[in-house]
Amino acid sequence: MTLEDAYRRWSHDLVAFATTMTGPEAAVDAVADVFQRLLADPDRWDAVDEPRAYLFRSVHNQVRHHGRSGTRRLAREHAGWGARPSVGTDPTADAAVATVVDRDLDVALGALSPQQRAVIDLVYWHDLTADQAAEILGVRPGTVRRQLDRARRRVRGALA
Amino acid sequence: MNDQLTHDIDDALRAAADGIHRRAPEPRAWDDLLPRGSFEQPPRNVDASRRVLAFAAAAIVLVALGGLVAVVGGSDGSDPRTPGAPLPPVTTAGEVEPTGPEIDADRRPLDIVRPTLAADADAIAVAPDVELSDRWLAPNAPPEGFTLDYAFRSDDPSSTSSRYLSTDPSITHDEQFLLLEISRGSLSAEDSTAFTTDSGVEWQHRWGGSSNAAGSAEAFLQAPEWFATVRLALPDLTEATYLDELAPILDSLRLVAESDLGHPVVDLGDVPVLARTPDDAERSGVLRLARSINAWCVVTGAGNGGGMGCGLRFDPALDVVEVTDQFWDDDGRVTVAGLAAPAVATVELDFAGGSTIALRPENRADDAPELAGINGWIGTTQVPGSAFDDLFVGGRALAADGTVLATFGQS
Repeated sequence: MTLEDAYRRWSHDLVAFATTMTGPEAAVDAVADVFQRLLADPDRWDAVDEPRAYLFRSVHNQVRHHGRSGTRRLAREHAGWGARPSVGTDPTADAAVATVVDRDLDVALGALSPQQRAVIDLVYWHDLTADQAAEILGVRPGTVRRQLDRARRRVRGALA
Repeated sequence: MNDQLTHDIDDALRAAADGIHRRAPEPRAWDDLLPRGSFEQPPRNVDASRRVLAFAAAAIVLVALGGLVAVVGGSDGSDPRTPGAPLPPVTTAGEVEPTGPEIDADRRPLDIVRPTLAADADAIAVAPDVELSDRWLAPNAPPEGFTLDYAFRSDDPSSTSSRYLSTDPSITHDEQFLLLEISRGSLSAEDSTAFTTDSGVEWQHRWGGSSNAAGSAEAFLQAPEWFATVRLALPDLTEATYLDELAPILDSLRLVAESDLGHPVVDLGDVPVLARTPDDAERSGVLRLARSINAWCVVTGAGNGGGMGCGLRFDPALDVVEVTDQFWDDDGRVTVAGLAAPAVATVELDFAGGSTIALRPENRADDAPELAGINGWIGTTQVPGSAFDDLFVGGRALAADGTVLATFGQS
């Protein structure tokens, strides 16, 4: 499979995956950066055995490497130092949908870490097992289970 | 009962993931990724797009979480896509080095929005002999209710940035601000609309989204070698009315030299060293601090990361301790930095796994009198575990006699 074929096939899912961790605009950049580096190093791509899993892991790494400083810069320059962006309803969402969103659940989901949201995406969208998600994320399966448990407990608390 | 609750949790999380995918933005066109040097389209300008990305600030988080939240209460069932099949196991390490190929900042992608400056756009014209690092975007007068908070040029130096904040103490800094930036290169301003000011300058503008506290709007202007970005946040800004608020501000903007800005600026490439990590190792960390008008600018660097920016509020007469930075690498090496009042003799930092390090705040900036009376601290340690976890837990500020003056968590 060529890199272009891979991009056309999986770039939407990769952007969505990155969006769970870093937001929509940074997600587009993260995916583009991964593919641009692979374009610059075709031998690396040729050596990949499992391209889809490789790309998901690469995007995950990309977001992690670049997310920290980006987050700090945003927080300082735009939201005020130390201020945390508050969770709000999507202004483009249907009003009827927004009104039925449970406020506690809203807070619970917003409080999840980017890694926890990545786990949710892999487990609940891609239907991966914890072991498979762990391989994608480059962590131990126990870490994925722990993160998933934390995420579910947060949501459980909001729904209870 | 519990089974039903478990089912509800699974449904909620599945709906959340589903919503992310439905609302995720479109990837860039493949042609935009092709390397320059070929006869294909040149790549986007990484630096430029990052500027625009940074410009989108709060909307990034809010839209992401908003999208995640909005579907939890129920989906309209219009999702044209279905969850993908399970991914195959990884058999090749999916590592990509964090540093990418160098991209010429002067090259511009072909698909950028490229409004042209009107011939009579004297209000924003630039003398050709003015360096970019000396170009500042400024209003003829601060908009009503705003005052200049900070102004800095980046360390590249390819950009200048200033922010105006609310003068009303009842309005928080993230509820009302006006951010003005000039950056070298080109931008990509998707989903924007053209608008020409009374002075004949064509901007692109778009709604930036809203939080519970404020709405925000953005505007962009592309010049041949640089671009300007403007972001406005107001407590009552709405998608329907933002252009009414934004237009007079855009019309009042002009490019000025630093000498005409009316305030001193901070060069983030030349900021005094306030504190260093206790060791002198190659990967030791440095905390730099400078004052810009009403805010502090902090630059931190260590072997495992770094950051820079302005806007920090810290008054050593009122505040005890502040965490300004924390970053870590894949090896579990964590750096935490911050400021402290003179009364703080020791800062203790707690990390995952139960380890603790103690730092002595210091002030190495003898030649910077504006930093007198404020101390900094920065420490790096190795923490067992994965960077997947939250490695820095929190800490305490202690007086010389051991009294706990303050406790703090992650920044």
